[in-house]
Amino acid sequence: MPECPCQRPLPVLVVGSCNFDLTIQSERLPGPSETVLGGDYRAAPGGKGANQALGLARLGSEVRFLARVGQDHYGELILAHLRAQAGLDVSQVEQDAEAPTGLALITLDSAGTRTIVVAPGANASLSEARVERFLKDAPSGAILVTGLEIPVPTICHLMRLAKRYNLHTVLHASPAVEIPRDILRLVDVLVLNQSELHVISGRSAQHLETAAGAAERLLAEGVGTVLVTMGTRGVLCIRQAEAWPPLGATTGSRFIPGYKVRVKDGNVASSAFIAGFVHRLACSAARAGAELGEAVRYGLAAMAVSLGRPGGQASLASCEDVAAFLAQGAGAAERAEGEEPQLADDKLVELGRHATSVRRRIIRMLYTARSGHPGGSLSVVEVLTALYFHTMVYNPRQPDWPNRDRLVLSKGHAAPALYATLIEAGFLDPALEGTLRKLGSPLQGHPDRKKCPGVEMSTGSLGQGLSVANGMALAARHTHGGYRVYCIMGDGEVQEGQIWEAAMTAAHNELDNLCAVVDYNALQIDGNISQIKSPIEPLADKWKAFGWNVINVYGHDLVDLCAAFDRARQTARKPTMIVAHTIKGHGVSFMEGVIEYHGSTLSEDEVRRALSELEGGAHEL
Amino acid sequence: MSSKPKPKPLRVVYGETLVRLGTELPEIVVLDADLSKSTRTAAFAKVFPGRFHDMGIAEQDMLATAAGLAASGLVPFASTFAIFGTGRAWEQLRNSVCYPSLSVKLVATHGGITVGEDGGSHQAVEDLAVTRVIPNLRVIVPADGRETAQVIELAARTPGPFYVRLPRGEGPEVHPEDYRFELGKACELRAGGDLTIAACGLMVAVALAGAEKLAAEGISARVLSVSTLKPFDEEALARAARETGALVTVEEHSVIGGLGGAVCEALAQSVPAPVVRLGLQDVFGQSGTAEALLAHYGLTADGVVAGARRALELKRSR
Repeated sequence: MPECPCQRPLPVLVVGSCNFDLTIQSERLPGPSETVLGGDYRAAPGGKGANQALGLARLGSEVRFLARVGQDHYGELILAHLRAQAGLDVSQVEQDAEAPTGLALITLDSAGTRTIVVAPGANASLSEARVERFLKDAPSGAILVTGLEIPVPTICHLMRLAKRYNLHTVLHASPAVEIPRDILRLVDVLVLNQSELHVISGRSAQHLETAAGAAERLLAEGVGTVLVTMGTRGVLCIRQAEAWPPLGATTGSRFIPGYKVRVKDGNVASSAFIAGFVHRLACSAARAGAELGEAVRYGLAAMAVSLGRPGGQASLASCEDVAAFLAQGAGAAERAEGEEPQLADDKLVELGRHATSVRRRIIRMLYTARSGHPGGSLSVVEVLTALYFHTMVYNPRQPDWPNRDRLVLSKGHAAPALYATLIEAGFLDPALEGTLRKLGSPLQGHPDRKKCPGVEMSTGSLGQGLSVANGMALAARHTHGGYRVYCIMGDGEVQEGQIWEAAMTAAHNELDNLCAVVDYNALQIDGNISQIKSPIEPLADKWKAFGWNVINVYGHDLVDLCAAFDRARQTARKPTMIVAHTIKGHGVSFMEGVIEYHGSTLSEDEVRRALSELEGGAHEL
Repeated sequence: MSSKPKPKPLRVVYGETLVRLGTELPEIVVLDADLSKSTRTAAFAKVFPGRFHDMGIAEQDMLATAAGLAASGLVPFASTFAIFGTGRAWEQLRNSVCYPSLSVKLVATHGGITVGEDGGSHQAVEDLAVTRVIPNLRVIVPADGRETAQVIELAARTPGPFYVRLPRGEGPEVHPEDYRFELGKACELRAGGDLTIAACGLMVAVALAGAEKLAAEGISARVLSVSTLKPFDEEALARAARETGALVTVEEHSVIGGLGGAVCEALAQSVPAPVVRLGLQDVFGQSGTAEALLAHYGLTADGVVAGARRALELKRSR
């Protein structure tokens, strides 16, 4: 990423909330009518509008901020604080004669869970007339940022006027309150997280794919671009073809991964992201064309810097901070500061190489076979790679060694991924690659334990593998085999009733030597899983309710997957379910999230493109 | 006959045999789906609690879990009623047990209409048809307690999947004391040259009673107990067709796909002969006492006699 030029960017207009935050750290959150003794507390200016304005100014944007505070002690403190920030024009932050300053009471427990009550105070009296005056001398082409912590009628009025003044609008849909649907067409960029997306769209948005579906629904109501923030995992960008800002040269995946950091303070994360995102757009708008992907990545970097530092608003990044963060390499910070033991760099490189090699084998196999399931095979590659090259104990020279760990690939249609992994792990002759699905081959269309060494169970008829894995785990107990059993299921597969019979069996028998994975790619043959049978969500909660230890991971992150399997091994008296959020067709850009690649024949051209994408393999990391 | 003690229900023999084998074969584990008191696996559970798994009302899960146990070197016996074990969990039996040829022993009780009062929903009259069609699966219907004990032991000691169908009730001992069950062999319990009556399960005793009546009329009927429906003793049936020229089949099962079906399939390719199939004529069962139901569906000595007359008529008119 090029260094931020910061040469006379267009001013950014921020209309939003200004609060005083009282944050108390407590071991646990109090119940109704209960008083608990807390620990440290912090009294400091806050509010999303102020956070965004400060964040932008700190990055070097020229900011005009419209907000309202009270004529009280808190109001004075806030104004003094904002005035101290260079580049931030607070001449329009007025003190309300009657209403007090907005106040947020925040309680934060040791696990990072928060309860927040906000008294809007003066924020609630930010009027339509006030907004009109503020916009009068707005420079054409500038960016307007606002959020839902000020009165909805004011926001509606603001958004309508913005178009008249030729402003680009960025709306942070937080908190998720009811908004008139007709203002959605006035929003150029809507920023929200998954739960806010759920409320605003009325659609399930827990998984990347269901979130994409929900965001597309908002596009249909007129939003230009929807940015779904998913914490440090990254941002999902869903946009109309001609929306602002333009896509630029960097096309490809709709999902832009974030940077991993050890989180010290998450209070201003969303504001930090928006500040970075908008700052980047404002800078480049002054130069040539603003690009969406570049701006999102910059926002994620600004957020990462802020997350890694304590102190609420004090953690907001400067332009130099972000440049330094990006220069040192995104992953470096994480591995230096990570809390859990991380994989050594060379080990990670090796795992990544295996994953790429497995993907290449899958593509080649499916091409020769002229049929099979690319999408669901590619989504499960990292899970298999972590299992076979980090987690499981086995001997490829003696596949039936009695004390080996066992894997049941319940979603048997991902057989090519299993065969590719078994070849990679030394169970099978690589020459078998060309025989997939051919008469007499050990590589049957779906795994066959009688024909193929290393295949623990014949599968393919969905819904049965978890029961089989339970049987194996029970057997380990009967025979004192000491081995562990793994089971990979599809997400559509959990629509089978037998899965839930097996879920009960595993929990009832306290099978802590069992670890199952749901490959949660959110697509099944007939469509998006939320359209076919939406109550699959909340998926993790269902397994928890059935008595399982549940771990959510991004299923293409080898570090997280390895750590999750390690944690499963340390869990006593409960089976573990790893809900692996994945992308169907992952690793091959044109197959990602495309339902048609569930089961299809690959053309020569598709194979050539796929293999060339998988050539280097560095991006797998 | 009258001096003999009242016979035990075959499922009681099953439970006792499991207990006996449990000591000799530590690899045996037993699963049930909340019917262990009826299937009598409770007897095993009492003696070997650590090797018994009650899977709850979840037959599909039970059979696939049994597959996992078998894949790990154990010998699981899984029991429930025939209607659930072969009906509800058929696809698990096919894909998780038989396709990989795992040593799961599905021993189902309450097969056929002698279930009685529970009625048609609980009377499996299709189980032999739907199990016979699955490759690798051995299908056995023991006729009495003596045979049941031997069948269970053989299943325990023979690798691969088995389906053993037991009735709810009891029947008289039909086999001599020195009887040795052989997998895939029909057993001739009565010699005869005019026709052959082939039967399985509790219907073997009915066939013998019918043959007795026929003898009084001067008709000499051979009685074959065909306890193994798969692998099927095609040779014994071909011999019977060749030597007696007509057959009657008796089973508490649909006449489609069970013993009657197996006999017709075998003879059509070897020694075609008239076959009269007694059983449920493509209908479901209903509530009633076992005796009343058997009488209603013609599965009695008189029914066998009538069937024999029809068979002989067909034989004469050829």
